[in-house]
Amino acid sequence: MDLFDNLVLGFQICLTWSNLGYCLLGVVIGTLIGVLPGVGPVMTIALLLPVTFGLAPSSALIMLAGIYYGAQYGGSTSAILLNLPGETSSVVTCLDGHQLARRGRAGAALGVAALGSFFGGCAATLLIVLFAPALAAVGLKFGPAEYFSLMVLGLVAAVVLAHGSLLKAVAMTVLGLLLGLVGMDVNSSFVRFGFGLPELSDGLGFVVVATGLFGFAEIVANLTARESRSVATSDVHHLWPTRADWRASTAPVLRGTALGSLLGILPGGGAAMASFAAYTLEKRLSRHPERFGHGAIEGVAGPETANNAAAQTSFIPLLTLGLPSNPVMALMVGAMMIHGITPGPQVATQNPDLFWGTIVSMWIGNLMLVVLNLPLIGLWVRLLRVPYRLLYPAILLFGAIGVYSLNNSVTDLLLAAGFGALGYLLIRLECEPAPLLLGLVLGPLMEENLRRALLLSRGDATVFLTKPISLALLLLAVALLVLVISPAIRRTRDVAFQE
Amino acid sequence: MPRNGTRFDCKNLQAGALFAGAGAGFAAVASGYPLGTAARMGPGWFPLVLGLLLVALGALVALAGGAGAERPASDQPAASPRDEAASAIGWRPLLHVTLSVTAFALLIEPAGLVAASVALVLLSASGGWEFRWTEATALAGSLAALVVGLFAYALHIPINVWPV
Repeated sequence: MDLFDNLVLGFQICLTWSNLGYCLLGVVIGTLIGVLPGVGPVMTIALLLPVTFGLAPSSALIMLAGIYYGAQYGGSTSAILLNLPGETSSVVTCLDGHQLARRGRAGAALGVAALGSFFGGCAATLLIVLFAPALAAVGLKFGPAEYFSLMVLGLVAAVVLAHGSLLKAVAMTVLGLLLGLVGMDVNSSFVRFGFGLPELSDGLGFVVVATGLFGFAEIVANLTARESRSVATSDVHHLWPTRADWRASTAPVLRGTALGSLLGILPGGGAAMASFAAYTLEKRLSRHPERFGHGAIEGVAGPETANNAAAQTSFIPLLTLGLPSNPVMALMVGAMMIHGITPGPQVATQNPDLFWGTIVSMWIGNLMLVVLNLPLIGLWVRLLRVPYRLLYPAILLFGAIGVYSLNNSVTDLLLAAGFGALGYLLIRLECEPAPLLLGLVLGPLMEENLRRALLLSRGDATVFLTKPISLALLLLAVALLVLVISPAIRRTRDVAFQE
Repeated sequence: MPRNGTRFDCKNLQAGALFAGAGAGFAAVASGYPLGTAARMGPGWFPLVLGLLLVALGALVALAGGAGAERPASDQPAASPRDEAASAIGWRPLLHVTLSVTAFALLIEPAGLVAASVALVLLSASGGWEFRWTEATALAGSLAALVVGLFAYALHIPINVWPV
C-alpha cells in the first residue's frame, strides 16, 4: 500500500521533536499575526524566509505552512471579539461573529469557528493526500506548451477571482509579469532593465517586492486612517457550543469544507475568497436569511471552515505542479528555492520526505491549533490591547531587517522602500497588489516555457492548440473569461460580492 | 467610500496613466534589445509584447473604467479602516515610512544595527497620530535591544551591530 507507506514516512518526519517544535512555532506565530490586524502571513513569511536558511528544508516548510493556516484561526478571534478582522479572510466573520459576542455568546462563536476550522483543515488535508500524488503524476507529463497554457489559466483565474475592477487586475498582472523579467535572461545571459545596477542583474527579489507592497504600503494605509480600536471585550466563557449550535452548524461546516477546498485549489482563490463565497452561500440557503448580520451561527461556521480548508488546498498546485496560487504560495516557492529544491511535479518523487512531511504536518498543526487556541484566547485578547502606534515601528523594523538579511543588500532595502510607496499609490488607486505579485513570480517561468514551446515547434504558435491538454487548459481559461464578462453572470456576481 | 462619479473617474484615469506609462517605458527599453524570431526569441520579444499590452490595458482602464468592467465600490471587503476613512492622501505617514526605511538602509552598513534601528523607529513613530518623545525613545531602545539579541546573537545573521 503505497499511500500508507507515504503517510508513515510523513509521520516519521513530523513526529521528531525538532519538527514538532517548528510546527508549534509556526502555528503560534501564525495565530499571533492572525489576531493582530495589519500584519499578514505574506509579510511574516517574507520576513522569516532568511531565518529558515539554516533549517532542514522540511522543517522550514512545516513552519512556514503553519504560519499560513495558523493565521486563519487567529483571524477569527479578533473578528468575533472586536469586530476587527485580523485577516482579510475573516472579514465576513465580523458580521455575525461580533453580533454573537455582543449577545454574550462569544464563547460559542469562538468554539464553532475553531472546531469548524479544524474540521475543514483536516478534510482538506485528506484531499491533498488523496489527489496530490495523482496530480503530480499528470504534471510530470507536462511539456512547455502545457505549462504555458496552465499558467495562462492560472493568471486568468487569479484575475477573475480578484476583488475590484477586472481590467485593473489584468493590468496589474501584466505589470507583475514585466517586473518579473527584470534581470538576467537565462537563455541569452542578456541583462534586461538592469539600468547598470549590478544588484538588478539577479532580478527583483520577491521578498523585496512583497515586503514593500504588502508590508510597508499597508502600514502607510493604516496610518492614514485614524486608529480606532476599541477593546470592548466581554468575558469569554462556555467555549463549547450548545446542542442547538451543533445542529445549526453541521451543514454549513460541510458545505464550507467543500467550497473552500475547491476555491483554494484555483489560482488567485485562497482563503479570503473562500470565506466570502461561503458566507454568501449560507445566506442564500438559509430559511431565515434575515437572521444573518444579527448573530447567525451559520454565518460563522461556514466561512471560518471554508477559509481554513482553502488555506490547506492552496498547497495542492504548489506541491504538484510547482505553481503558486496566491502570494503566500509564491513565498513558499521562494522558501523551496532557497534550499535548492525546484518546485514542480518531481518534488513528490524526488523529495518525498519534504512532500509528505509538509502534508502530515498540516494535520498535526491543525490539532495543535484547536487544542492551543481555545484556552489561550485570553492571552490573544490582551495582545490586542497593544496600540498600533507601538506596533507598526516594530513591524517596519522587522521587515527592514528581513529584506536586508536576505542578501545583505542596501539596494534591496531602498527598492523595498520604493515599492512601499508604489504600493500605497496602488492602494489609493484601488488596484489590488496580489495579481502583481503572482505575475512577478510567473513572469520568467511563462517566458521560459513560451520560448521552449515555440523553439520545439519551430515557431509554430498553433502548438498550444494542437496539444490536447494545452488546448483544454486554454479553453477553460477562455470559458472563465466569458463567464465573467457576460452581463448576466456579472450581475449575480456583483450581488454576491455586495452581500 | 465616496461613490461620486468624479472621484472614481479620476482614480481610473490616474491608474490608467500609470499602467500606460509603465508599459510604454518597458516597451521602449525592450525595443532596444535583440528581438529574435518567434522560433528563436531574443530577450526583447516577450517584454516588448507585454509592454505594448500594458499600454493598451492602461488606455482601457482610463477610458472605459467608469462603466464597463467596473464593479460597485462596495464589493471591496471592508477589510481595514482605511476604506472608510481614507479620503486624503496620507503624505505624512508615506513620507515618514519611506524615509525611515531609507535611513535604515543608509545607516545599516556604516553605523550598524543599533543606530539604524533607533533611526528607523524614531522616524517612523513620528509619522503617526500620537507621538510622544519619551515613549518613542523607550520603544526605540527596547526594539534595538530585541533585534540585536534575536538576529545578531540568537540567529547569527551576519550583520554589523556597532559602527565599524
